[in-house]
Amino acid sequence: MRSKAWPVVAMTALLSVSAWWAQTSTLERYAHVGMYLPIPEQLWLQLVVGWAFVIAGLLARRHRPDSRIGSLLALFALVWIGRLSFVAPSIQFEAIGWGVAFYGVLFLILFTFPTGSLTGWERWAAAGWVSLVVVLSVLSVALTDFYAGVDVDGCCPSHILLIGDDREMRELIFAGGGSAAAVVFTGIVVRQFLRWRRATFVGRRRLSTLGVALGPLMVLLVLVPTAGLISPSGFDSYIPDRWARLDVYVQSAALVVLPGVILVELLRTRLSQAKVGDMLQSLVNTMAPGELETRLRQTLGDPTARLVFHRDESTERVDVDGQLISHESLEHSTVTSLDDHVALAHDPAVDSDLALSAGAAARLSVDNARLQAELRAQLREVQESRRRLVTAGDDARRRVERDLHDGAQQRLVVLAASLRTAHRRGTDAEVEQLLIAAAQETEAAIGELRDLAQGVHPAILTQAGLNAAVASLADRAPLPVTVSIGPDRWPEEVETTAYFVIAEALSNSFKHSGAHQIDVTVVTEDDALLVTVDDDGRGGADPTGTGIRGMVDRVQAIGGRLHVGRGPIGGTRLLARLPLTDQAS
Amino acid sequence: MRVLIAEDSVLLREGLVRLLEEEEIEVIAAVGDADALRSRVRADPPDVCIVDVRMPPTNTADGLIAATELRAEIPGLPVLILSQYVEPHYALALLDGGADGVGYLLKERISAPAEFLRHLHTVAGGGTAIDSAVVARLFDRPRRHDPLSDLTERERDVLAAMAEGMTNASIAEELFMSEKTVESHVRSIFQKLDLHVDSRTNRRVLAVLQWLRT
Repeated sequence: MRSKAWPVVAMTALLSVSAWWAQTSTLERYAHVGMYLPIPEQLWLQLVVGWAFVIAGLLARRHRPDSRIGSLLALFALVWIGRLSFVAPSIQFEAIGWGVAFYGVLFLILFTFPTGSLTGWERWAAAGWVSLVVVLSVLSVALTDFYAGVDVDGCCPSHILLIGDDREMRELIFAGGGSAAAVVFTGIVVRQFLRWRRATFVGRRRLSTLGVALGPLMVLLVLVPTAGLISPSGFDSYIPDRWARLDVYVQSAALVVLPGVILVELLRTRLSQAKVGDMLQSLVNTMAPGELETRLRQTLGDPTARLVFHRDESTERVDVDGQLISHESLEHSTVTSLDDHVALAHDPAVDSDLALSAGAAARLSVDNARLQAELRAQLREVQESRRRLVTAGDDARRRVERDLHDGAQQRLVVLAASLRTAHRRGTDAEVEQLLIAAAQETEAAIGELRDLAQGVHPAILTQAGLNAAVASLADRAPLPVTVSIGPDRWPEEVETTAYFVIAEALSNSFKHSGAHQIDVTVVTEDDALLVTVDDDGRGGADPTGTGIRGMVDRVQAIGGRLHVGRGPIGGTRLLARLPLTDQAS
Repeated sequence: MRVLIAEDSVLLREGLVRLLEEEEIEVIAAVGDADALRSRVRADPPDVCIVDVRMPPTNTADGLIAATELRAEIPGLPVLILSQYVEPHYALALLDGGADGVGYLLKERISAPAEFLRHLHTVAGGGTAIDSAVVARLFDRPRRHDPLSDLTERERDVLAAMAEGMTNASIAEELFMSEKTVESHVRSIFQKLDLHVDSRTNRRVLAVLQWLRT
């Protein structure tokens, strides 16, 4: 829905011509009674201000149809220029128009920037304020006889609203109205400042621009005495002195700057819309989802913007990396739906039309991004389940070891002791022979069972840590193994993985490498455990072999990485990086 | 001799109690977890504690940890650890707090009561007894330039006996040689291994074990 511009232009032009005619002819006609403008430039300065507002308003309406600021700017212009026609003695209403335009419409613009709309209590407050402005403006004129004691065409009260010339009452109205205006203006400044404080990144930038616009207006209100401006306190006050001239220049300059600043801010979004077009072009080449998101952020000027994907057959929402998005993390964002599957979460201050058009442009790539996000989410699930499988396997091994320790091993020890006692108490040489053999067999079984339990799960790893457990591996190694591990303890999952990786690497080296020496080093680095196993063997370990494959699986299950390559002492180097912080991916 | 037993396996605990009572050794208490061990020893320290490594409440190395704590509280409290594990780490951890009255034996050693009781008396008397399987594991540890190969076979026997905690007198008896011969072997071994230890038996056990571990 776009309003046509030409009726407004035509109306403004008509009013300008009318103002020009009314002022020049009135001045000419009533020159003999001393009617004149404070300075000759005043008329065209007033027209420049009016046209500045009307142009800004029309441009704003054209490019930001969602905001009513454009219409308000145009309204200001119509009232502002329209009042200039009412200078004839019988209809001296110029001051009423000034009050309504300045204190009514302009205050509304500042109050409602950037949307131009009012909600709830604001409607009532604004309606009340505008009514008060109208009433006071009309009253002040009705209580002023501009031509008191002067013969105007030898007739009549000097204007049709005149009730009577009451200077005291008038001054009371100026004082009261002026104070109320100052309070309301301060209220607007405070309100916009509080908004700025609360605002998000994008909103702040927007409101900062408004601060620039408020600056000149502040100067206007402080430097130019309100009472002197709203209306002459009598015909006498229109004395064309130097100060009055300055008043007019400052006022006009401020009023020309204001619509310009407002327009620039409103056009900024328009410029952003142009960026959407740029983005569209770059999207012709398929883009990675992360890159797409970066482009969206640039286009919207919102570093917090992100794509939100609804997963198929699930209420979960994930980001471009397939990570779950919580409800809380979206609390301070506006979520603009692009289709059933994808939405764009962005700063609430980002214009919703802009978000929608950027999102629509991105749709070309979004389907691709959504499928990738779905894939990543599935990958994450697979990784989590792999981790659970490994953990469950480790738990089972630990249980088996414990059962052996508490059960069979103890029983065999008691059995061996009983057999030895029976042997000592025996009398039959043949039976004694059998008993001693049975006792020795049992003791051998105890030894084998001990090794078996150790292989299933090394109790010393849980009891004394990686350092002691790997040293124990080194004690039983057929080759010299140098162990360099601190006495620190790490999460059970990490220790277990590190232990099995080291055990597997050692056993590979013993069997295949022909090494004479193996070094095992474990250090922590940036939230990760770095496990290094170097041997001085032939090298050339096969990374696709089942042994190494198994290690890779274990390491990846807890989100780590494993690398097998050539080592510094000539043989094979195995390097595992195990994250100490929990990261399922 | 007053003995306290801490062992969570009922079967083994009863077996030990029976074994000791047959030898008319007084068992003042037989408990099944580390907390009970702590409170009983604090209330009435025995002449020697027999302690299982792995016990409730956490079923990890609770017994060993409790024993180490108690030895720090009551200096010289004799402790004989009974373990399922051939782990030099545990033996060394215990010896770290002083080697007087410390033993580390595998559980199956109780099937040879005479030897077991000999070790128990050694520990109760402030001596040291380290399981031969633990010492053997350290001996077999591969070394890049093994100084042990410079030792004569006789010297190795003496070194192993030292590592098990035997005194010169016991070594002499065990290996059928005079104490003087043992002493000269010990000097020669220390020189070859570049070990500087005073000849007091208990200190040298730790030194020898640590040397073997590195």
